[in-house]
Amino acid sequence: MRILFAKLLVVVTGLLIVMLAFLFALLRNPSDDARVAAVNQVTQTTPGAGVVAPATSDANGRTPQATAAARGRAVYDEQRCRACHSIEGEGNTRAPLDGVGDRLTEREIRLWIVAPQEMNPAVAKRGYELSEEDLNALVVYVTAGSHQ
Amino acid sequence: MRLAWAAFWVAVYLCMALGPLFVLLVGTTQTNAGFWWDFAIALGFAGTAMMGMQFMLTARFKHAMAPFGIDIIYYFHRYIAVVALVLILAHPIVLASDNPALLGFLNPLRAPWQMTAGLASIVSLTMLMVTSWWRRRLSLHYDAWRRWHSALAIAALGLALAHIGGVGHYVAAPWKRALWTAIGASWLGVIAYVRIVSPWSMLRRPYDVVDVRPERGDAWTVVVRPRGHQGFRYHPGQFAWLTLRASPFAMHEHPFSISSSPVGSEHLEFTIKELGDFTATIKTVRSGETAFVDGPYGAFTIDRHPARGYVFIAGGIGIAPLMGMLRALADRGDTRPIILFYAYRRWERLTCREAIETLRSQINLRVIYVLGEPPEGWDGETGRIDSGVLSRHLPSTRRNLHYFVCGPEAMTEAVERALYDLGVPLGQLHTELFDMA
Repeated sequence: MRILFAKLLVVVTGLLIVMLAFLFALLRNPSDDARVAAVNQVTQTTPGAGVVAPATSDANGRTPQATAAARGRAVYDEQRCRACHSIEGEGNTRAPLDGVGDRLTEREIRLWIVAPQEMNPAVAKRGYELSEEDLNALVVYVTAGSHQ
Repeated sequence: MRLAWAAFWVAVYLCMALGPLFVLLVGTTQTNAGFWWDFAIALGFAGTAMMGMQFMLTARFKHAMAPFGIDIIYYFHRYIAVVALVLILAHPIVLASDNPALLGFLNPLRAPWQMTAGLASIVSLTMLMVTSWWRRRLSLHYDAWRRWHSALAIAALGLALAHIGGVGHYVAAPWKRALWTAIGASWLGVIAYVRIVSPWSMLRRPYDVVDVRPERGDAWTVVVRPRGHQGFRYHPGQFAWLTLRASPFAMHEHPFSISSSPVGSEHLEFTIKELGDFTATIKTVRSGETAFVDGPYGAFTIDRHPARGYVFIAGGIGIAPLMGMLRALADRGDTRPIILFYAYRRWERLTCREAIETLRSQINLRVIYVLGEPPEGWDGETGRIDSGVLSRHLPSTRRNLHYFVCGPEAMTEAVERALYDLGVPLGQLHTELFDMA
């Protein structure tokens, strides 16, 4: 009877855990609203904003382009993009990003970052929530000439 | 009452197993990962937290265990492990069926290290389960198994935490990383407590073996006395972990019922039957050897359940904790009526028979021996303790009494059912199972 009691506790606990895991997934995928908002972030951005900029230098003598790429590199590291992607053979070579700027339009790249399911509904990649500047910088970095 | 406690502790368990997961929700508005992706992630996190909780369940925190009895906790540990394994196996399976490209991570040569860590965690966990569920079939020695069990458990948890930290999506924010680091550290802290702090405090409180006396039925009573300290206070019927001929750090301790009375003497007695690897060596222990004792544990005691009278039902060596209670009743001059049912195969093997006969004259005790193979001329009960035997000897006031049953699992379950059929409320039925070795 004590073993039965222990088993009962286990079954109840196990079921509750699975139910709560279900709830967790539901809470994180509430509706399409969030995705629409993410897509809007891309479509409302002026194409090229932050990518093509006047060729003036900042205080360190770097062009805004280089500043953006450096920041993009930081975002790339922060978000651990290399867990699934590689650049110049560094990172996970399953999905290399070398030359991505030639293969995809800028808008497509942005969608792949913030709302990948818009590009391929079946893909198991999460959408990244980035500030406008970070997103721009990341796009600059992954499309930058050095690794195209 | 027991259900209320059970609900409370299940709630505590759920909070500790899932709280860290739901904290991850805070601050993330959307991810677009898809339902199944997040579900799989939740399973992984929950499974990891459950692995961590396994260490807490067996850390022998006396207060948390008291309402249940430690046996329930150990059975919970055993069966919830299966649930944790299923959740953790489901984590990559759900992810990979959502996105078959992830199967590429199965190849350690190409996969990033954190994916290999996750895979290695699953392998460790699977080995852990196989060696635990089929220990006897694999003829693993109990002590060797325990060391492997610890090593594999620490490896499985450490690798899972490395996997979480390495993948990093869900713990990217510094405070989430800090939180999960703290959670991981608390589990590892429990391990440190169990393996270092607790043995160290035992080492400072050694005991001397003062006697090892043979009992009927291949049993021995080991008597120990605290050396230079007060020992501990306990209730009759409780048990302790006993270490002989080893350091407390060596993980050679085994749980045994205390068969002595807590009244008067600081001596502790353990009546142990030769059943396995360790118990077979008891007879070679000599007076003067050092022992270490970690206790007391268990809720199997009359002191927690005041009643007008008690019924003790023992099978074989299950008499040990009941002897502790009988001796305590005698030492306290208790006059409440006690009925003892004691089942054994043969008359001459009845462990503690002489001590029971002596107790008859000291307390209000009635003894019913039930023999499987009675000698010639035996006019007492025979066979097993069943509802026939019980109803012949239990008084009409049986519904007011509290029952303490200790014996082999099959006997315990049969007696529980028989008593329930005789109208004894389940709340008055107390058992503790000792199939932990």
